Amino acid sequence: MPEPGGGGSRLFGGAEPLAAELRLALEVQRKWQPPVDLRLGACRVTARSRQAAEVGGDLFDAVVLDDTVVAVLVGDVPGKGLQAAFMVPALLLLFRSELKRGASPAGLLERMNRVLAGLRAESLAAVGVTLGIGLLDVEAGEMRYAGAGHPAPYLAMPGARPRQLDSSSLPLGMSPEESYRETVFRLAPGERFVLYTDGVIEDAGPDGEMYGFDRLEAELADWPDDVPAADWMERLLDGQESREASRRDDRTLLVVEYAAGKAGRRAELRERSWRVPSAPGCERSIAAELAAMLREDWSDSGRTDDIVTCVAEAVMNAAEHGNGFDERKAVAVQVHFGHSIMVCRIRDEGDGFDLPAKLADSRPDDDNEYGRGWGLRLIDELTDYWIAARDEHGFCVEMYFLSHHRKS
Amino acid sequence: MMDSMLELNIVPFDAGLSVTLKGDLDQQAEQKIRSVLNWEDGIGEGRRYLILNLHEVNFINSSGMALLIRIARAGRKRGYHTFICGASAHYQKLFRMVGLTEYVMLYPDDYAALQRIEALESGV
Repeated sequence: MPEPGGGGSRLFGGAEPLAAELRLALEVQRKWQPPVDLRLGACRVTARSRQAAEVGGDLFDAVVLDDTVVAVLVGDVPGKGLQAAFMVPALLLLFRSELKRGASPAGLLERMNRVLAGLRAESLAAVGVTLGIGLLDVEAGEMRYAGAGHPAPYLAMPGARPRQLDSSSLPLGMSPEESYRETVFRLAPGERFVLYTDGVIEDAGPDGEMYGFDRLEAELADWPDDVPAADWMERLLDGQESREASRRDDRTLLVVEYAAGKAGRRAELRERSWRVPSAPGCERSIAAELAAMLREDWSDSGRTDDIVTCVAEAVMNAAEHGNGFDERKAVAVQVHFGHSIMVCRIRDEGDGFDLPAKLADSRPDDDNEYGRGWGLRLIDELTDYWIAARDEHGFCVEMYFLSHHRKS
Repeated sequence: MMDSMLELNIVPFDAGLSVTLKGDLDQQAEQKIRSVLNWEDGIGEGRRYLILNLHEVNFINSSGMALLIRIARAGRKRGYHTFICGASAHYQKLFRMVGLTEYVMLYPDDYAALQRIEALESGV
């Protein structure tokens, strides 16, 4: 992993401290803010975020719960630079850990609010953290939404005027006793649920005029049925950037598309899975088939070699270190990909590993130990984001790759 | 255990050996290479250069890279220089990531590596 700031005493001279701090902040955010492009049944969640010149505090996340529910989050924390950069992962961790305890979006906000208010931080007491949380039951198409001081989301149907949900309340962290109201509604096939941060609305042109709600609503109404969310969001964000203004705030959009009954939309997404006994060399056949599939279906991404290398390393680690080359135990590989992102999950039946210890141990001087930990080093360098976690099904390494042709 | 998918072809030249590898370079490759080239004992009297041609290697994993480094590090002890040629841009990138380029010189093909050796031999 490259050292933020380049290391050494240069960090402490002239303008370098600020540059080093910003590089560190960007690295922190990059590591903790996973790309979002996931599918569950008829639901697809896509997010795009563009940072202002300073490191800002937009955050977003999407998590699949128990195979039928998707949780989405968009938020905005106060401040810039390191303060925001470290607040974002802390909030994402809090969100994911509270999600595991269950409850509704309003209940999640209330628990997160009590934690944040309990910190008694001056910056939070003054401005607070705005968050919007939605939980979609994919089978029923039922969405439960609650917001904490966050701009009201939209429901949009192609060719129709978008509808804004009412969700006024205080941001998190300002008052420990705040309660949050929940809105429950059913998404119609083809309907889109759109979350965003205030940076999108308040984006100012060269004349100082804000982008505003009217322009966003016009874009939502004109969004054709056959244009994927990723393309729509990138075009909107590109359009704002073409206005040649200096940006002071991050801009984030997250779209939940509900496509029940729309077969065409499902065809955009593909998936493939493998299951192999844990034998030495078991990664070879997967690597070969994955390479062939990527050359056929994701050829313009520029990521084929990176993906094949990382999946092969993860499978090798899973078979050797996770399952101890016990051929009765399987390594399961699953890849999902849309037109701009690929997610690869490699699962074994072991207990997992201590990542910092593994990476620290990656360059021992003993010749016979050469190569230990290099698989993780390569995964860390070549993926856009990765995470390793244990759940009830075993130990899983999840890796995200953005297509270079569409990387924002 | 799956058998190694690696084949080797060794061609001696005046000052060294040129080894062309074909197939996969992974943890199973070590035994195959060792069966024809015991690099830890050197590569032969008077031989100071080892060229590893990877042009026909389709797949290299971290174990394969570790093997290449061990061969190159042994060369430093045994008095031979290691050259790698024919690696794709992707694998060249990985070699830099894991530090292999601290021990070997990368060249596009055999010809370029041999030209460099010729220059070294003539003291240029």
